Amino acid sequence: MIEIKGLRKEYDKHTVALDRFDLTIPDGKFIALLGPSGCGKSTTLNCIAGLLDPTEGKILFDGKDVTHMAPKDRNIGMVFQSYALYPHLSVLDNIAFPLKQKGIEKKVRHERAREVAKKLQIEHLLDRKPAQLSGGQQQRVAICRAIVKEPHILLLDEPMSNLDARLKIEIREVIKSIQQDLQVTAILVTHDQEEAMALADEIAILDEGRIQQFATPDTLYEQPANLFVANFMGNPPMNFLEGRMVDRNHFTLGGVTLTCTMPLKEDASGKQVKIGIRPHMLSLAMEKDESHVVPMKMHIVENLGKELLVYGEVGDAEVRVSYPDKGLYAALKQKAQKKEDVYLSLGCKYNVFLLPEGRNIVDFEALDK
Amino acid sequence: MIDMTRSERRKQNIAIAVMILFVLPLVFMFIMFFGMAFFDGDGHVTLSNFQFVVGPMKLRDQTTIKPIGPALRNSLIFTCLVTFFEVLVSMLAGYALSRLRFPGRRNIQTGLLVLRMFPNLLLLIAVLYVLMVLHVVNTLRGVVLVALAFRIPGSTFIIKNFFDGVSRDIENSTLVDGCTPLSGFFQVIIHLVKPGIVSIAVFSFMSAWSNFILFDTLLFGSKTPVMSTYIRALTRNDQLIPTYNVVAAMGIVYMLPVIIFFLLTQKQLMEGNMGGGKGLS
Amino acid sequence: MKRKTVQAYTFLSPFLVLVSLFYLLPAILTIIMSFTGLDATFQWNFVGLSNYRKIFLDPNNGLILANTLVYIFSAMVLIILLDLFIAIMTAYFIRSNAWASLFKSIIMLPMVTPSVIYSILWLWYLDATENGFINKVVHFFRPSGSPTNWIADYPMAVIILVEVVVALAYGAIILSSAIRSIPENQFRAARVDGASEWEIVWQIIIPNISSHIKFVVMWETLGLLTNYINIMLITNGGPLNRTEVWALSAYHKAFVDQQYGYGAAISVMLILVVFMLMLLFGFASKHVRAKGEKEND
Repeated sequence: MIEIKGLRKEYDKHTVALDRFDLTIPDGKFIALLGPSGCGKSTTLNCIAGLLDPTEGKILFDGKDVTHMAPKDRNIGMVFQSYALYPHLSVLDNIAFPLKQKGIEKKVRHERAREVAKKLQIEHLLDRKPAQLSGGQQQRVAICRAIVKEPHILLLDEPMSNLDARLKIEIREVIKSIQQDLQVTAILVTHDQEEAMALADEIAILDEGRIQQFATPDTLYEQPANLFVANFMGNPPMNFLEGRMVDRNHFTLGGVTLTCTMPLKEDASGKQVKIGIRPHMLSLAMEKDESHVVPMKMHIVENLGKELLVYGEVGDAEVRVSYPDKGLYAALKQKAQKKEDVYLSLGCKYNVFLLPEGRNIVDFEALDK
Repeated sequence: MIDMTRSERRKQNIAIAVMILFVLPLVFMFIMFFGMAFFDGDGHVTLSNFQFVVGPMKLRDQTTIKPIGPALRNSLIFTCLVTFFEVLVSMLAGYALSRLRFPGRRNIQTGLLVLRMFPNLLLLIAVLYVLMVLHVVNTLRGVVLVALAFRIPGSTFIIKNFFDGVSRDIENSTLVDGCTPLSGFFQVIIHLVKPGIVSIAVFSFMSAWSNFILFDTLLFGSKTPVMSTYIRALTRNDQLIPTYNVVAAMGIVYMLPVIIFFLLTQKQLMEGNMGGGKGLS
Repeated sequence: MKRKTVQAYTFLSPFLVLVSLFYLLPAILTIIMSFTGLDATFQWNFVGLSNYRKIFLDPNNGLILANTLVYIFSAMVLIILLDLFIAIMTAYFIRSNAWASLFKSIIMLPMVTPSVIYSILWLWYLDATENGFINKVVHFFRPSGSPTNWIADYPMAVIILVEVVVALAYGAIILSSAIRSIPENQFRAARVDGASEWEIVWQIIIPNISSHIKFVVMWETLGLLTNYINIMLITNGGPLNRTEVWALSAYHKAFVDQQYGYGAAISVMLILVVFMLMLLFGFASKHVRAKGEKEND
């Protein structure tokens, strides 16, 4: 188990990269630290690895304080974005390098390196130098090197950022199967939400040195804690409609007053809110009816093959709607050309973010009951 | 080189022809001069001009010149010492400036830039005085120290740039893989800056081997001859003691190590890592 | 944190000791010496500004200053033009690496030749008797004429030639590697747009390497200003001070006439000029800024 308690990291006494950072990671779990660049995710990883000294706070491995322990004594393996292979050593010696540092004799360490290489299907490359390998192969070698000493923790620092789309998926599978195989605790740093969702059991979303939300991918997607998380997760992104709570259960939106069907944690009467809805949760009708009451000015409609993507405007907000009935394509296109209105229904799943701080005030616990 | 259009190829051929004409006088000058070493005064091929290599040499006007042995030995000792310590000192300093964070780092880096271009030859008067105070004046040791000091800003600058080019990830990787900073340095980092080490070593070697001015100003009397002062003593501009043929032979002996080094490391030198060489004298 | 500082200064200590002993201390000593009448007896008798007054009163110094300016300016112009020529030839027109590096190696020959040998090469080449190479060639075409004493008759031209030939390589190599790093697409785009080779040189190559040219100009200026070894070995300032330049005169005053104080004063003046040039080129400050590193997240 890894416990991070009250971590704080300052650079040059001015810039704060991390602040009041708490995180507990149970054994064998795969965790992702996700956020835009500069959010502190790499700083966190480097503190866990011992490559950076935190300014304040503690890091515990299985209850033991390792905050100021040298990286080599932490029993960790690490995979870097730039692969960081040693260019003067052969692939075999690269993989065996961590064992050499432990003073394991040459024959044994080469044997173990070969076994690991076989697992990642690179045993035919062992005699080459890193420069003779493709990016994907290099990253496989780097993964081998990270796991050869059977570390307690595997740290992955944007391991797929330098790879093209196809290789990304390939290496993703390799990492996932290795992690499940070894039951090692893994921490992945990435700015790619798809990568994080595909690999991690739980994801911590970071911004400005703070954890915004730490939850399973489903929860992050369905129940974002605040506007930042809602904005960051999901592609196409969530729609945000500006409105105002008129009383505890009603809000106005684009000139229409609607009943809030979601249970709220607090009474926000009179306050500005943003209603956040995923594009596929919105429903659309050509004419106004009982449920479709919010007018949307049509911009364009795209035919994506499996569905239609409709772009329009509600109030000042850009809105995207995924619409499964492709039969309406021609009619919608006509409406778009004439810039006419269609009508939206908010459906049964949306989020209410209280402005200005952007907190989600939907009471999901009440909803689950 | 690959995939040139016809017009590019034609232009290249013209350019090659122009460059051949351009360098021809230079090539000619060197070949003619060093060629003389293998001829006697009457134009016969001979090796007798190289007699100074094996022992005292009697010239035609009956003056005798000393054998080159001691000068060769002193030059070799001097050059090896300077090269070894220059690489060592600049590597330590370059690593610290590139990789470690400490108070004063910024100032030393700025100082390095100024020092690299500082006209050190203008300090020789005071340097002579410092050597006197240190009681190493008029000794080879003293000149080694000065030669070393004059070159380390340049080499430190070069090697620092090489260390700057080593990615943090690689360094971090050694630490995670179980190295201490020191063992990581010797097992991995040093291999990544090898081109830089070669580059400063070559320049250091050539510069030390060719050095004349420091010996001329800081070593008085001829009790410790080195190659440059040995040859210079015989060829002052007002009077040339041996014939050009013998001087050319001496030139060949003097330049042989330089040429060998040059050919071995030519590629390194061409890559623009020339920062430290303020001329090589 | 503390431990790291100690480690850093341990690594830096040999560097710092050597630099202090042979740069900083001598620099301070030179300034102090310039206010003394220090000579071969090494008596530190302070004479105030009289050394500096002497600089302005010595009638020779006008000639020396003029020599220095002519020498630096002519050599500089020739070096830069030839460097550009060589660099454009070997890096742009000649794509074959083998040929390019052959030419660059030949141009590096004078640079790697020890100055003692390099100077003899020229002394032989320009020898006043019929043994001299040029005189032999002239004699071959014009058997009636008597040999010319090139060095005595054209000392400044000789000195400039000698220095240009030895200094070529440094700038040529820097500029040619700069040209090699210009993206090929820029040339292709220019050719598609119908640019002639001449336009490519002026519109693409020169602007792309302008900072490198600036650096070479500065480096060579400082080198020409302070490095007097080749002049010393070939004309030693003569005949009749016609090739005596500023730096060489400091050397002569100190090490030949043993007027250490006076020599130091000349050196101090020259060092001040060097510093002013460094500031002028603004190189140091720009470079420091470019090197400013940031902590990476």
